[in-house]
Amino acid sequence: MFPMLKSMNRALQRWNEFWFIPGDAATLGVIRILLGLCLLWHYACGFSAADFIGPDAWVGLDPSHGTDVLEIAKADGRNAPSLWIWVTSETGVQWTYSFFLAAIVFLTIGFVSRVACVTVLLGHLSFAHRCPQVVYGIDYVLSSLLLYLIIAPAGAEFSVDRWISRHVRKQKTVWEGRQLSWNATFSMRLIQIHMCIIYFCSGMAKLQGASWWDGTAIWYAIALPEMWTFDLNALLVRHPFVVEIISLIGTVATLAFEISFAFLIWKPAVRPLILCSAVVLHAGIGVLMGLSGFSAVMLTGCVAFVRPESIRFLGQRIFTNFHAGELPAPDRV
Amino acid sequence: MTQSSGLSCRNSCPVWLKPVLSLMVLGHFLAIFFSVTGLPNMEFKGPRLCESGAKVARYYLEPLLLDCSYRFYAPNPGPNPCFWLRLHFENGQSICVEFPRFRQSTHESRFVREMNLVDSIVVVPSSDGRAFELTPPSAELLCSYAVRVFKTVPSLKIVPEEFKLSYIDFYQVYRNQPGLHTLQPDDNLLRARYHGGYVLGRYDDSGTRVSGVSVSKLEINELIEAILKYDIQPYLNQEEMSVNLPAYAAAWPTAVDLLLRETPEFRTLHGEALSDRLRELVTFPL
Repeated sequence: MFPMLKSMNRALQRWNEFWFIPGDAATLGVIRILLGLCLLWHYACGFSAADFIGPDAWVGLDPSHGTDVLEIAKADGRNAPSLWIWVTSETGVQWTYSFFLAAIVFLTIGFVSRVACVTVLLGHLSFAHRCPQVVYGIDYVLSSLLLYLIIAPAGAEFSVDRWISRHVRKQKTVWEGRQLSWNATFSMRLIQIHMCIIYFCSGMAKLQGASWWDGTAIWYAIALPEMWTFDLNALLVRHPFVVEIISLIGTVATLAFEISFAFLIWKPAVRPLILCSAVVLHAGIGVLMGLSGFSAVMLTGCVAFVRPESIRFLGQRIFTNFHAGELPAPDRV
Repeated sequence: MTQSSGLSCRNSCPVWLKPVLSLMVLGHFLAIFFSVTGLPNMEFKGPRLCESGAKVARYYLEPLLLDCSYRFYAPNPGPNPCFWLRLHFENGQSICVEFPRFRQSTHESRFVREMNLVDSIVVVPSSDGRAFELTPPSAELLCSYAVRVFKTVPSLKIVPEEFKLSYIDFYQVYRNQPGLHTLQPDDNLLRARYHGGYVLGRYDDSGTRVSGVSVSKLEINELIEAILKYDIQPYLNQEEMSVNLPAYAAAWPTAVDLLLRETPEFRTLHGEALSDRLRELVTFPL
């Protein structure tokens, strides 16, 4: 009985260390900035409020047009609220949308970070639930990262909030008043595990597909006629063997990466290799398939696995007044 | 507790909060686990326990947009469908467009959303209910999309307000891709294009596919050549031609190639017979 209690105690201790040990928020600061930039690109550049949420949106709110988003949601058993169901006038949409974009800017620069993060998440969810027919992978990843950032002290580092705090308290160095916090570790762990789930599920689901077994899946992915950035048909005609070899290597590498990510990323020895593989995979998706936004968001999630010391070291190299210090890693405090 | 580096560590988690948060974390990831395992696949259903769990978990996951199965490019990557619409007006005129439109002039995110919109129309309800399905196909929804597409795509705002819509034809189009294993080394580029063609399908009002055939894609020059060769007059006037060229460019090669390559009996058809058959297959303004 005693050894069992002992092992239980050890497990609880490890659980406690894994989730609740106070940690540095530097990584979360970087994630906040990158996420904000992704959101800005996503909503300010690639989104038309008129098409998706305006009075003349594709999925209408007016039953006389034949579609009513509320009726569709009801028939589909969905019960998700959206701000855009109540804000329907053109002016209302414009003002609310501008407010939403302003919140994204605030999140990016880290001004009233937590309020901005909550606002952005609500806006993002409202958009998704207003027109669920146009939601795709990037929206799911964005919503999960935003949710976890709300818990985090995301504005504690590299932010206007931090700058104001320093000046209000008249701190002379950037180190004064800086805290290790448990919720930095907690939210970072949530992001890390969520990223593992995404990759693992994606990899396992691929195993059901014949093309992932015969090595042609990557060809079918990069040569999607509606998505390609380069016309690869000519290459296929001239050098089919080369294309087949590339496709086979790419297919096997993608499967190996996605399935093993959840297990190997926790090993410090191979973590850099796995993160470099993630960069290669998503750079490939971004360049060859034209899905740069999705790739950027996924890589933002992967930043959660970068140690705060590494970020501070990098920051020190970039900004001379940036203090690297000897911060203990969350799992080593 | 203060670290030697000057970091204060007073922001530690209260003891009473730890079990609460631990339970919440477990519940959160259990819900996600149900979500990713409980959704039916192409051929397999999820475990019954996970299906039941997913039905409960969706009330928590759905509002937060966490109800994703993360099956990106699985089980097999392949082309997305696109959507052809032809609006017939009461005055006898009609107009058509491909949706989503070609990638070149569109932002990535917007283009993918448009593709998803089309995808959402053709979702087939699962046999055990529609709990996790998107909007099922419906003629009303298609009509609404069609009208809104014409309203919102700037270059297509050529339909006068006084025109009253009579009816709409819909075509669900799947582009084919060159297959690695079907292409022989001695084939030429045209052969690649042959594989890189379209699948043309026609859907009735209830969203059921009533016909479908694989056809090829030709370049615009070849399209024009084919039109001249077979004396096809698809354009009502020069103005409409310029506006609708992308749609025609997508549509006509499909139709012409369908006749020339995929259905041998039509290779002998010329002139009026060809035009009649085209009218039958693709109801575009002739």
